[in-house]
Formats: sequence, structure tokens, C-alpha cells
Amino acid sequence: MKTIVKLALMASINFIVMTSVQAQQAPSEDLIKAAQKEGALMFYSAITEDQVKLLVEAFQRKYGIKSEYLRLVSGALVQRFITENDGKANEADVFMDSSPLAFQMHTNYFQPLTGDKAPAVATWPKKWFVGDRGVTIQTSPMVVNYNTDIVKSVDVPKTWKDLADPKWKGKALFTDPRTSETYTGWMDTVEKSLGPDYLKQLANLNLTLTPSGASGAQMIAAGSQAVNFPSYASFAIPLKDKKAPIESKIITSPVVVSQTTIGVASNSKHPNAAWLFLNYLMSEEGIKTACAAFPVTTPGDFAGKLGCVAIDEPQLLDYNITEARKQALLQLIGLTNR
Amino acid sequence: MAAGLELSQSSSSDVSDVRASRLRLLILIVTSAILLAAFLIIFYPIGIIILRAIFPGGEFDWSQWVSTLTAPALGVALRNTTIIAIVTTIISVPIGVLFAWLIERTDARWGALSRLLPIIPLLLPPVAMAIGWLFLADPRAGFLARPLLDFLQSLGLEITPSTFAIQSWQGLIFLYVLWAVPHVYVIAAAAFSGLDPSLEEAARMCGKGRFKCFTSISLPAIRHAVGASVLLCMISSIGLYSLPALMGSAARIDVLSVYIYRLLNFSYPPKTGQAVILGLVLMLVIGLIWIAQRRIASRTGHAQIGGMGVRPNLLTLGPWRWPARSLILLYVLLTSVLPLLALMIVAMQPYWRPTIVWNTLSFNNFLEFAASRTARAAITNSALLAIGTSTLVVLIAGLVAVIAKQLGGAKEKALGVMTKVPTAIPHIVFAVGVLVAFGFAPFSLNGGWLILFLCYTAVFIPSASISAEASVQQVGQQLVEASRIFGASPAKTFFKIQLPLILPGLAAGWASIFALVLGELNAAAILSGPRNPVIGYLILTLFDNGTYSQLAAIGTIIGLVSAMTVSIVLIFGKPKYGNNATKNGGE
Repeated sequence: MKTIVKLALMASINFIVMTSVQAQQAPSEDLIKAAQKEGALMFYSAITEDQVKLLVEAFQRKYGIKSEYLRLVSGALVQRFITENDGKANEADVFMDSSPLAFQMHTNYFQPLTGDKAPAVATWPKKWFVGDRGVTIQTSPMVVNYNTDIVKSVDVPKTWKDLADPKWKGKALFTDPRTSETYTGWMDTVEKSLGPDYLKQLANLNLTLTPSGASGAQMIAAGSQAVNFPSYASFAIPLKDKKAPIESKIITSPVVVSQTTIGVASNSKHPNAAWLFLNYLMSEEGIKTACAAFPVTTPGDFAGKLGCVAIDEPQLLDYNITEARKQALLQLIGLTNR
Repeated sequence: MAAGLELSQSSSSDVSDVRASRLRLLILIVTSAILLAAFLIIFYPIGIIILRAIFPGGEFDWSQWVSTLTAPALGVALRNTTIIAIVTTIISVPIGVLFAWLIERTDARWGALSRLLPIIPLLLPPVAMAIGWLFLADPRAGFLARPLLDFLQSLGLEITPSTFAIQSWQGLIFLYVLWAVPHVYVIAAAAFSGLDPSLEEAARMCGKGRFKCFTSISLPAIRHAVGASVLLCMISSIGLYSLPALMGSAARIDVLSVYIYRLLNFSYPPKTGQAVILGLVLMLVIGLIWIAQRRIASRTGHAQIGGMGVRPNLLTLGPWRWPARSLILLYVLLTSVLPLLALMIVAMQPYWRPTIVWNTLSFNNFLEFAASRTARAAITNSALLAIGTSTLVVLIAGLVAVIAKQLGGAKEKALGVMTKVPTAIPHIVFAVGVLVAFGFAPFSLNGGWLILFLCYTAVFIPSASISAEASVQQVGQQLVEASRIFGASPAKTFFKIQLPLILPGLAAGWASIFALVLGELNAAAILSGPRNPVIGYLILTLFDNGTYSQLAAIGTIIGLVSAMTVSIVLIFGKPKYGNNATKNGGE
């Protein structure tokens, strides 16, 4: 009996805490009305098409605001956003990129993030703010994507050190670190954490290069190689949906994540809709919606209580690697002067 | 009465003179307007790019030049690009010209459709072709390479997948050649089809062998077209991105296009300034190659379409006829049938897998596109843009080539170089220039179809101009002068004499540009979006967030749309006398 009372008490406390969080995150009626009066939203994003679509449609259903999106790979998206803003013809209301750099370098193109307009902002862990203009809303942990027909479950690598094992020689597909700031950041992080010899060991594996994690995942599913790293789980999802023999495993020691960062454009045409959308994405409801459909990790739920993938507190990536440091790292891993 | 008649006759001839001069004026105005517009579309965005990149903050920045040109990886990329461009050209030009000769001038051709065979690879965007070849030739998962490797290993040969890889120097050059041969073929075939056959016939009557006839008569006669092919081959090989990105990266062979792409897409902030500096250097190199090619071609002379009526006879190859046909068929099999088949199989698979499981094949990937409103809009938009762009671009290039030839000398050279300028600017940089130039006030074209149309027009003028120049050089002055003597205006001469004769060359240019626009990716990334989707926007999305099966499906759709359109154009673009070709003493 005591146990039942205890459980009921805990559940009620949980309920009260959660409802109080939800209450804290609820947008004001004025914001909702103003956003509905604007009646439209344009979301620029570099996360996967399916995720963008899901979030935009859920928002549209909830508030009845016609929402559109532009989904491009990070480089093209940033190029476009900056050019439009330079030309004083901004189209985006909310901007979300797979790195925090745009928010650090073009602060004037983003509004300061405050809890006044979007109360959910105030409940977010402070560590994950990029200055006062952007906030990391998702953290994508780097994974190894592997072919389940080739790699037995006992052999699935768990740590970065496991991947330097000579047994992967000639069987590993390595995502070209020159193709993204996050992969360059990965080299920097593992080198700092595991030492320069680690990168040298990888160089000895006779790694085949793939230009992107996306094409790497296709090669793995086809059985061209056994493992592909560093990569993201999102690349394997469309293949897993088609029952391809591919799986993703988050690699630890250390957990390396890229920071999907979001902000509201300074020259937003629909600023109220923008704040309402940002609030929705950062609220428990928005997080649950995203995590129910995709294996997402987020600073809003590292413990996995809202249905997101739980991870240990990850190591922050350094996105500002100097050219000299980059060249030194590439040399260690055997990728220069070919 | 007689005086009255004279008066009335003279006044009627005055009226027709006035009408003619008004018409001439109108044509002059329209022509000038088109050329001025073309000039603006090309140079206004380029001016903006150069100003922003070279004078950041309004001041010239030397350090940017130094850091660009001394980057350690640049030397390697330049070396590899030079090797690839030269080797590709050396192999592709002879093969393309030989095929063009066999099909246009000998009885190795069979039916009008055989003219289309060598250009089938042209109908696929390079990204689809690269993936098609990956499906075939990946040493561990390729439909062809895997069984072949297993077989060779079963014979006890010590071959490992890595020694057998398509992701290697040999593999890369092989694919570049496959991709380049049709570009050479279309130019050479157009030149051969318009060539006066009397010299070849005379040579054959004098007892020259078939091969000798090809090397010493036919080949020199289309020297301009061969020169143009060399130029096109070089320029296109330097600019090609998808093949080296997919295959070259895996083989660790870095080339300039991938290097520039990385500067723009994989660095933050994008190193546009460095990309533009490399573009300017490239512009200089391409300009020099163009001038050298023109100098060599004009010094050595070439055959022209003469004033006499021609009815070309097809040279009989005798016992060589079937070997020649087999060679063409083998080429078509290797370059088109197999990769297309691979593409179609993978398009019907749920995902790329090396074994074909028949009961899992379906049209689901195609049905997904059919069900998506954005995909349908993208395919329609791209097809319309491709038709519009290739028509306008070919018209502009034709006009410029004719006017340049009339002007001659330094003016001709200046016009020639000007029309090649956009080649040197990477499409994505050019697209940024177009967005800045026309996207915002006062034009405000951002998000519409017109901005894509303007960008495509500018970036594809060089390809059209190369094939147009080759055709115009082929038309002899004899006919133009005859037309003038009979009192025809320059406009009438252009429409009645020059245009019909350069039409096959223009049609060839039209066809290749049509296919290029359908598969264009980089300008699409900057200028296309949910409100103006094009196929490139779809491909970019799928490349990152889809399966190769979906990409293969879109590749197949592009192939089919291109094949239908290009076949129609090439069959109808052939001059009337060409259709009357008869075999010389053949069946």
C-alpha cells in the first residue's frame, strides 16, 4: 500500500513539475493572435527534409499558420541566407543550420533571443546558447554506420579506439573531413582527446574516402564496405526504412556532437510567427514531436525523458579550427599532398 | 499616262524601299537589344562578383591573392586537373570524330536513329552517370565488377578489390572519356553532315584507301570542328564536378572543380573571394586556349560548305562495315546501355544492392515522384526552362558567331573571349552574382523562374558559342557574297542562307544544353526553392537525404525526357540535303 502511495505521489510530483514546465513555456495569447494575423512562416533549415516537414506540419496544424520551408545542405543554405540579407531582401523567418558559425559571424542578421517573446527560451540550458543570437536546439552525435550483414553484433565498434583496430583495414569508409567544418571539428576533438597517434593509426587502415556521410551510407547498405565513420544516424534512416542492412551506433569516448543551431532573422517578415515557431520547437511538446519520429538528441532532453535518444553530456565541438591546425590534422590522417 | 505609270511605279518602289529599310532597322534594333541583354546578363553579375570578392570593403586585398595561389593543396589539384583534361582530350577527340565520320559519312550508319546512338550518354546528367557507373563497377558491390572479381579470384588470381577499383586514376579517366566522347561527337557530326563530299569522292576515285580518305581528306576538312571539340573537351573536363567528387575523392585524386566547390560549400564563411580569384586565372587560361585553337585552325585552313549543290554519298566500308558498326555498338553498350540499365534496376530496387531480387523490384520510387506536387512542378519547370534556355542561348550564340565572323580580326577575338567568360566562373558563384544583381530591388526576381532563366542563359552561352562558332566557320563566304550580290539584306542572308546551314551545329548545341539545364545543380542551390523548384533542387535534397534508388529514378526520368526532346531536335535539325544521302555503290 505504501508503495502505491509512494508511486502515486511521485507521479503527481512529476505531473506537477511537467505541467508547470509546460505552463512556463506557454506562449502568450497576444503572440499567438499576432502570429495568426501574419498568417505565414518561412523556415530555412539544413536538417533532413523529413524532419523539417514533420515540424512545420505539426506547427501548422497546431496554430493554423501557413508554413513553408527551404531545405538545403548547410553551405548552400548559409550562402543563400547571407546573400539575401546582404541584399536587404531577407526571406527567412527562422533560420536553422547544422553549425553555430552563422550566428557567431553574422550577429546583426539575428534577433537577440529572449524569454519575453518565446518563454521556452528561458527554460533552455544556458551552456547551449551561441552568444545571444542562436541556440543549439539539437545535438547530432557522430556515429558509425555499419552493414549488419558484414559486421557481427559483437564486433560493432563502441568507441573511437575500437575503430582504429587493424581488423578494419580495407573495410572502412572514411567521410572526407575536408567536406565539412563538423568533420574537421571531429578530427580536432579526437586528436585532443586520444592523441596524435590515434589519427596516425587511422591513416594505417588504408581508408577509402567518401565525399559525404550520405553517399557513405549508400555504399554501406550496398555492402561496398563494412563501416563508415564519422557520420550521422540521419543518413541511415531512409535506408533502414527500406529494410536495408544498415545500422548506426553512437560512438563514445568521447561523444562528439554537431550543434544544430536556430535563431530568428532580424528582418523577418513574420516576426511573431517566427517567435511562436521557435517557442514551439523548444517546448516539451515540440521536442516530443521531433523525438517521437526521429532518433534525435537535444540539450532539452539529454536524459531521454521526453522520448529523445539519451546520451552522456557530449563534448562541444570547436568550429573555429585555423587553417594551419586543419592542415596538421589532415597530415596526421594522411590526407595531404596527393 | 506613261509618266503617270512611271510615277506610280517609282512611288511603289519607294514604299517597298521604305518598308525594307524599316524592317532592316527593326531587325537591327532587335538584334542589338538581344546582344545588349546577353551582355548585361553575363557581365553585370560578373562585375558584382569581382567587386565583392577582389575589393572586399572597397579596397584591393593582395593577401587574398597570395593565400589563394600559395595554398598547398592547390598545386596538387591543378596538376591532377591538367593531367585529366589533357588525357581525356587526347583519347576522346579521336574516338568522337571517328564515330562521327563513320555515322555521317560512311555506310556504317543504319537509319536516322544511329545518329543518336553516341549521344545517349549526353542525355544523363553527369551525377546520374557517375552513380550509374558506381552501381556497375564498384569492386565490392558493382553489378559487373563483383561477379568478375569473384570469377578472377576463383581462377586463383591474386586480385583484391582495391586493385580493381573504378575509384582510381584509370577508372576516373575512363569515365571522363565516356562523358566527353558525345560532346565531341555532336560537334564533329554536325560538321561532317554539312561537308561537301566531292573531295572525298575524288580521293576514293583516285584509289585512296578508306582510312587514308578519313585522315587526309575528311579530317582536315572539319578542322574547325575538331578544334572546337578540343576546346570544349578541355573546358568541360576542367569544370566537371560530380564525377571527380564521387569517384575522384574516393581515389584521393583532388581536382580543381572539387577544390573550388570545397572553398564555397565546405568552408565557413564561404571563401568566395578565393574562388573568384581562381575563376579569373581560369578565365585567362581558357581565353589563351581559345585563341591558340583559333590561330591553329585558321592558319591551316579547312573545307567550307560551298555554293554548289551537294548530295553526299555515303562511303562504302566494304568488309570494314560490320567491324565499324560493332565498334559503335560496343561503345553504346559500354557507355549507355549498361549504365542506364544499372540506373533503371536500382531505380526499381528499394535501395542499391548488388544482387537483383526480382520480387522486390517495383515502380515505387517513380510513383513517389508522381505523387509529390513539388517533384511534378520541378520536372515541368526544368523541362520548360531547358527548352527556353537552350533556344535563347543557341540564338544568341549563333548571332554572335555570325556577327563576329563578319567583323573579323581583334573584334572577332574579343567577342569570342567574351562569350567564354562565364565558363571560368563556378556556377554557384555566378548564381550568387545573379541573385545579387537581379534578385532584389529594383528587379526583385528572387524566388521566380525568370532568375533561373537568366542564370542558365549566361552560364550556358559558352557551350553554345563553341558549337555555333564551329558551324559558322564551316559556312563559306561564297554563299553569303552571292546572297549580297542579289541584293539581300544581312538579316535576310542570315535567315535564308547562314541559319539553315549552321542549323545542324546549333541543333547539336541545343541538345547538349537542354540536357545540361535539366541536370544543373549548383545554380539551383542558390536560386531555386519551394516556390520555384527545379530538378537540381530535388537532386540536391535526395543526395543528402534520400536513397541512391530515388536518385536513380530521377536520373532515369531526366534520361527519358532528354532522349525524347533531343531525338526530335536532332532528327529535325538535319539539313534537307543530308536526308537525301545515298550510298556510293552500296546496296
